[in-house]
Amino acid sequence: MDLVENQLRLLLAETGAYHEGHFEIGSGQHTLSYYNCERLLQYPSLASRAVDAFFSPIQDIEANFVFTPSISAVALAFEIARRTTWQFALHALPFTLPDYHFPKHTRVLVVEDVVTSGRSLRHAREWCSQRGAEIAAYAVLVDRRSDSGGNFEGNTVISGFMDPVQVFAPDECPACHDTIPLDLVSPNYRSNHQELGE
Amino acid sequence: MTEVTDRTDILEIYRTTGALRTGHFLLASGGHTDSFFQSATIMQFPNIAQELGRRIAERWKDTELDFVIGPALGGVVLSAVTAQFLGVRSLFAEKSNNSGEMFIRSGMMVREGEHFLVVEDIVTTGRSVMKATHAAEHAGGMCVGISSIIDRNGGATRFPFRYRYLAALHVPIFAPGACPLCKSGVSLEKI
Repeated sequence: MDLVENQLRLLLAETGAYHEGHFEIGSGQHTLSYYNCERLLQYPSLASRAVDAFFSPIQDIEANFVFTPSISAVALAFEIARRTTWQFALHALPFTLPDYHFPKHTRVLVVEDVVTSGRSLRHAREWCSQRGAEIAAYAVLVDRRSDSGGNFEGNTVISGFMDPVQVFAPDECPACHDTIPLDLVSPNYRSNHQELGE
Repeated sequence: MTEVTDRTDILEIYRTTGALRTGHFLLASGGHTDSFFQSATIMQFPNIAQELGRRIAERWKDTELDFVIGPALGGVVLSAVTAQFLGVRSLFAEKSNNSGEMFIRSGMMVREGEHFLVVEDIVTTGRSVMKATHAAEHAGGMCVGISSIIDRNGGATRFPFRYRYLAALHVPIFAPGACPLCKSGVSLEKI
């Protein structure tokens, strides 16, 4: 485990943002662990420390805009924008920004807290390119995709660390098989993450 | 980058960033208006967002607070920057899919009796501020105040809590049947 991963895992563990157990996620599939980063990112000082941990590769990206498709990642995205002095935009479903258009020559760094399926990154890419911006790279705190290779659809994904998640169909779930009671990830958590398919 | 100092007028900030739009707009409340403050445009500039957060924090520095909360989407960035200056947590409330109410994600734990400040970009009817307040109260918190960048009712908005705004502007809102812009045939834009 490298230093960055170690620092971030500590922050996530200390704030209770990492959970192990038996969970049903938005897609209806089961998993044995999940992160709710808002538990960490609600502390401005800790959000800033999280950015400290993986900021150095971010400042080498040729971008001039930070965009996040997720309300829970605002503290992270804004902190990156503040340090780089790049501009900043937030657009999270189901809200809409009327007539939004990026300035000419906008190159966007898309920021997300946790990426599991990649659907929120795809939403971000579509939203930005429909509004005249080019994707420069992605920055995520925890990349839970398997075999991601550190990129998404041809662009670099800078991540704090990778922790590929195993998801199971309910009838193939080992925890179900062992009759471990299912912890429904709270309805609030589910209703939000369903929209982005995370 | 758009420059702001600690004395730059709020209306000036909206004007110079292109966030003050004039025309004929249909507000979420159903009313019509000739000018519209698009705060997302000013929040694009981290230095401006921070300056606004600093000004709001300044007005509450002597109040004991545990967290700041903003209703999504308008209050989310403002909550983050205000909380940073106050050295407290930043939460957000969002609309539930089913009812018109707001809720706080279970990840952001509110302890019983925690004091909170609600922040919002623009207060028009005050509805989303009150929904965010109810969500945080429901989670166990105690509201000690409300702040916004602009009070669109010229300073006449009343909340059942202390309310401090950075600027009060009176912008008339017309009922659809009584809107002079409709009468003069200006096309209506939904916002």
